[in-house]
Amino acid sequence: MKMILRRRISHKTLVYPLAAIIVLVLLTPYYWLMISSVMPRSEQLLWPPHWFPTNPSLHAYYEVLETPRFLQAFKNSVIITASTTIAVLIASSLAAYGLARIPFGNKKILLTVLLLIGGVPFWICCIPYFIMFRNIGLIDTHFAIILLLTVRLLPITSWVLFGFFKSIPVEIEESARVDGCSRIGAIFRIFVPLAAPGLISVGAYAFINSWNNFIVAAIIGGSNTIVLPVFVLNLMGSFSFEFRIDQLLASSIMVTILPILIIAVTQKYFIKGLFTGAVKA
Amino acid sequence: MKGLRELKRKVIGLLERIGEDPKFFGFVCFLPSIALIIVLNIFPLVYSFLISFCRYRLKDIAFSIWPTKFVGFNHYLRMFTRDVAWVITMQNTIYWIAAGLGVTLPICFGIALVLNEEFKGVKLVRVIPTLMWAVPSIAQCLIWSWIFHGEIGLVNNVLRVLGIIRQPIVWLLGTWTARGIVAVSQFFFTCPFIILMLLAALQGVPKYLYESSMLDGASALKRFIHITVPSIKNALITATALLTMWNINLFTFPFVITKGDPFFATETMSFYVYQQGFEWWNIGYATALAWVLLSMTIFGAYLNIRRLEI
Repeated sequence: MKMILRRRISHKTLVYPLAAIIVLVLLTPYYWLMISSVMPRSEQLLWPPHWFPTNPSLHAYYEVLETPRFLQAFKNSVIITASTTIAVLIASSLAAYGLARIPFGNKKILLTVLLLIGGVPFWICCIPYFIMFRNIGLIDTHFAIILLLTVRLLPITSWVLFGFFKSIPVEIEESARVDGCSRIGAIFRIFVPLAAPGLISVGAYAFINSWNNFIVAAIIGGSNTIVLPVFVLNLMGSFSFEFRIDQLLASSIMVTILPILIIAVTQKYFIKGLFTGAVKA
Repeated sequence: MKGLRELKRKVIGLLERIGEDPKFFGFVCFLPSIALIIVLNIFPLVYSFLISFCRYRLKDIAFSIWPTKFVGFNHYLRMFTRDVAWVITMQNTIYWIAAGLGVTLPICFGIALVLNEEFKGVKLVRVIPTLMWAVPSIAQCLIWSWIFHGEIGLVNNVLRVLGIIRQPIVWLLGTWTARGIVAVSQFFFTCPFIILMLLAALQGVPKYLYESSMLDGASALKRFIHITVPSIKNALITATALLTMWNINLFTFPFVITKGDPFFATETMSFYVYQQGFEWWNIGYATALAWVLLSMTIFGAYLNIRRLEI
């Protein structure tokens, strides 16, 4: 009795300081980003740096918002991200439904091939994409970027949705069909509400990935399709970015706000949806 | 109005007829995804494979979509015999894989173990990796180059306060210090996903295993070695495979901040492919490099995946 009690007490007292250290270490960079972005210019470039702003001002945010490129980048970001999310949801839920419900040949091989194709990084195909799109004339268009982002996301999202759809028992749909529902009706009335958490988590994943993605837009896009991360990239220029550090910090914060909000809202679906399939597979 | 209702009824009727026939329905389900994947994944892969045997430079692109000069295995020979930069990038990648597997994985495992405990406020702390994951990579690169800044960076200040150094270190200019920045930023890029994955795996371990072993008198260390680690073996192997693949494909930090400086010390293999292809326009050579890199990635993934128990 005494032995177990002693172990339990020492276990708990070790956990709290460790957790505090972890939170401190993981959050300090982002705290620093937020704090530095509200400092006036002279205080940002101070040495030794201040941990807390003496007179916080939002001047950097006003400067960035007044830049016309920023609004254009924001509009492009919203268009591209929303279209990509819708396209990914439609295409991958269709494919996952087909994989989960329709009996045919060797599913394991198909899934492995899907995963392998999803593991191909972007830069190996970026040169052929560039040449192909240049010859078709799609280089600076929204359509090309949406297409590429969708294709990048399809394998992973199909795989995750497949794991999710497989856990919904077939008997529910079959009993609906026995009661006279058509197949499409059964899908829309019974299956979709049950699969909603998985769809939400995959939608959030697609949204965040396409919002944060800058490589595709930097290589295939141009001045027409400037996206928010590419806007920040252009601000950085070459080595000496201290001169525009306030705009850089403010625009980084503004790029980061939306994904963080989305994650905060869909957080509980996220972990369940994404990792159940991956861990038990 | 009546025409619209008729149209709607016809479309729904068509959809229902598609739904009744299982084979056709399956075909319609797969068509968008398969078409996109074949056109935009498989075709460019084949195309780049064919290009890697040709010489394809800037003036060639202007005139034709197919390269004009066939040079066989020249590119592959060149990258292993004459290209010093490529060898340096391979060494760099080994350093970062070692840092990833030797430092990131144990630390993330430890963090996941702590987050697995039940204490007051644990739900709030578990949200932190999820939020970290959503931060765009541009912002992360900016944060790290700003924190490690040569003159006014936070790290220099902390080291000065602790008394370790007296003059600030210019991190971006030294060979090993620049590699250190990349390794630290890689830790923060990759740790959210790894922590969440390991945490999910740890929460799937049934509690009765621990309880029965405690009744049998096992110490905490024995419990860890014999119950925890084998139960999450799959997740650990997946984490190793992912970390290896991410460190081979490291692209963001050099692309945004260092561009390979100083003198190729932070050059990664994928960034070198990008440079050859888009800055120096040796497209044939770049695609040959890309294919070698892809085969290394697949090999690394295969070495890990074959140990998975599915």
